[in-house]
Amino acid sequence: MTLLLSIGIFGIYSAALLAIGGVGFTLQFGVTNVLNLAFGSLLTACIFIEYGLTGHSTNLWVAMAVGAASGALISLLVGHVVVGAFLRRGATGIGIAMVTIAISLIVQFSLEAIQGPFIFAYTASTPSTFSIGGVVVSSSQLTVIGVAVVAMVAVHLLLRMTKLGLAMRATAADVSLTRSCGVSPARTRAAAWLLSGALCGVCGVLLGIGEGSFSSSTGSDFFITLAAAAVLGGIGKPYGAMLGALLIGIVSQAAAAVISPSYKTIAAWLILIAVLILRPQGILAEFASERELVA
Amino acid sequence: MPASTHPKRRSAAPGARLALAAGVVGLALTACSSSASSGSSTTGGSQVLEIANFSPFTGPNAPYGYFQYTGCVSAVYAINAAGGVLGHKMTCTIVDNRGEPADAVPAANNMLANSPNLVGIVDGDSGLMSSTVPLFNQAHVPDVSAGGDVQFDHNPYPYFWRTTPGDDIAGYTLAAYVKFATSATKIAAVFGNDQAAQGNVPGLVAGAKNLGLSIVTNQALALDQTTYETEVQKIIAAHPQVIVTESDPQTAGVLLGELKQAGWNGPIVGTSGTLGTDYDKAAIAAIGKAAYEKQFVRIISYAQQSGPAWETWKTSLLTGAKAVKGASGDTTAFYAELPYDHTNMVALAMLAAHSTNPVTFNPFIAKITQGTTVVHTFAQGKAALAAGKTIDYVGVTGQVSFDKFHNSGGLWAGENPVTNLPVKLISAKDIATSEGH
Repeated sequence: MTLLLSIGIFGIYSAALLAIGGVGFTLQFGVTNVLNLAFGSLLTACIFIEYGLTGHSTNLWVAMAVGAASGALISLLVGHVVVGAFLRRGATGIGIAMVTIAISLIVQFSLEAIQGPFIFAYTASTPSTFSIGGVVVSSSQLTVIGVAVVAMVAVHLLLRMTKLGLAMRATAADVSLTRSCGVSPARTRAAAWLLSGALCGVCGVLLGIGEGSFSSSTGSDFFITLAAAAVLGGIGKPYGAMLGALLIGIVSQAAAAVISPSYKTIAAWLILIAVLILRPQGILAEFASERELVA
Repeated sequence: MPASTHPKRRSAAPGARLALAAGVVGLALTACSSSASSGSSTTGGSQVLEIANFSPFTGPNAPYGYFQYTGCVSAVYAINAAGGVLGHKMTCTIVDNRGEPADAVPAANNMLANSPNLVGIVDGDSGLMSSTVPLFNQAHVPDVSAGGDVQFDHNPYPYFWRTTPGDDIAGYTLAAYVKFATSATKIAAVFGNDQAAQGNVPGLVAGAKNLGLSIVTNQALALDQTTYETEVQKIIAAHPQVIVTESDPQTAGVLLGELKQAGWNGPIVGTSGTLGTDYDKAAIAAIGKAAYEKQFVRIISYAQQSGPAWETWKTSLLTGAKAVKGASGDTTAFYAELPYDHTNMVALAMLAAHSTNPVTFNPFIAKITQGTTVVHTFAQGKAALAAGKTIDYVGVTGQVSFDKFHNSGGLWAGENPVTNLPVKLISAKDIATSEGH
């Protein structure tokens, strides 16, 4: 029973981190149709910025504020200045994806070149712990889960209840029609990059503090699973990313418990393949015709 | 102007001359390169002899590369201060293999093709040996290694030398430590699912069986996950008395933190793969320095931290390698001491053979550890050889005794990870008992 509870609780904890980042990644793609493969490196950059600016603080609230702000700024810079420049010159989807890969490698290896190929660690803290049915959970882990829930609710309310959210959904569905309705795609795009970056930054700092240490490749390593969650749920669908994150989180913990820890990653990817065989567009997405890149 | 009326002739003549000149230069360069790659003449010359540090210098295992480089630079400093080798100075070069076979093989080929004065290689990455050692051997370049790939326990390559035991022996040593230094009989084996970490498991399992210990759980961890709570629950549920582990630093940080969270305050025994400031940082961040010092013991090949060899090493390190990042903290770092000794051994072998040609001096790498005059430094060895004596180089990392497979076992110890001092030496007899001999 304890093992089942452990699978559930820590599956949700894994899913929480994946969901925060996955929603940011997929939301930005949904609005701009730009596959931002630099997302993982930007996540790492946010950890480094938070680590440096806060003096290695492990205060989650301060960390999230710094992470969100730095992530939003960097993301806007990447999206509007760099990627936007290529889009305005008529770059295609594959070309833009390659640009974002280049940005990812530049950021990662610049961090390594400047900071060194070393591990950076936070000072050990002793968070309070709670026993839930025999499973010990720390206050930090519960906070991460809580933050993920709040972030998902906030994204839902933004998309459903605000004009910006309406503009984002409309742009994601049909940018030409949206443009003709007087909605500025450029502003909507900028908002998507900002929001995506903020979620990226929050995910990054929670990941870094949660693991206690990080290096220049931390975000890139995590990004693969995060992207899998987004694709599993249907790329471009924030609700899909939430569902995909939950599925991957639970399945990987279950595989570790039932089979062996070696099968954690294997199980997650097998689930992705299985779902995509049955629904190639992902769990929540529908097939759509080729979409315009939003410049 | 005749040339202007005959444009084809004008353009052909300079082009032909250019091609001829290029051909001559190319032939000359090839000749120089060939002679350099076979080693400099024994009558001396101005070439600087190169020891290549073939290690990761980027990526998660980069700290090991810098340990190695520190050791080499320290040795070369002392060698050059003592007049060099046969009139040549020596130098250490960095060859970044990034810790991945896909990157290591091109890096090795590039190094071998573009290093005309290469006389030796120091390396230590278990996971790369099977793909790169054959290349070094084919190029007739001695590789004095610290890598633990168990395939090399029966090494077939004459240019490969190793002064640390294979990872399987390391596994037996873990079992021996648990048996003879603790009162534990139930072991939880928790290793990363990479080749280097998993190389310890067969020896640990076999050693535990030979010594009457039981492995109550054997977890192969997927690396760099955000949580290992499920694995921790399985470990706790198995009721071990000691946890034996190896993983990369980030994995260790998460694992140790969640073990602490689950209430584990028992002993943890790490392999030599847990050696390094990055692992220490991650572990201390997870459980605190006091707990790390109290609970954790690291099993490593033992090197005495005193005596003439160590004093010379320390001086060379603090003087000669002070520009290398982090070097000042490596005075007791085994993986910096090893390449220091390895570089000295290559240099002394060249002196003993009176040749910088690797084909000639390679067999002398063993001979300089079998002589009658014990020496502890390059300078001592050089003086003894000049006086016509045969030498036995006993460096910082202790006595070297190569077997027919060019392997030398060395001593082992359980080490405090904070003070880096040995808490318990593990005798060869204890290890042999673990192996079932």
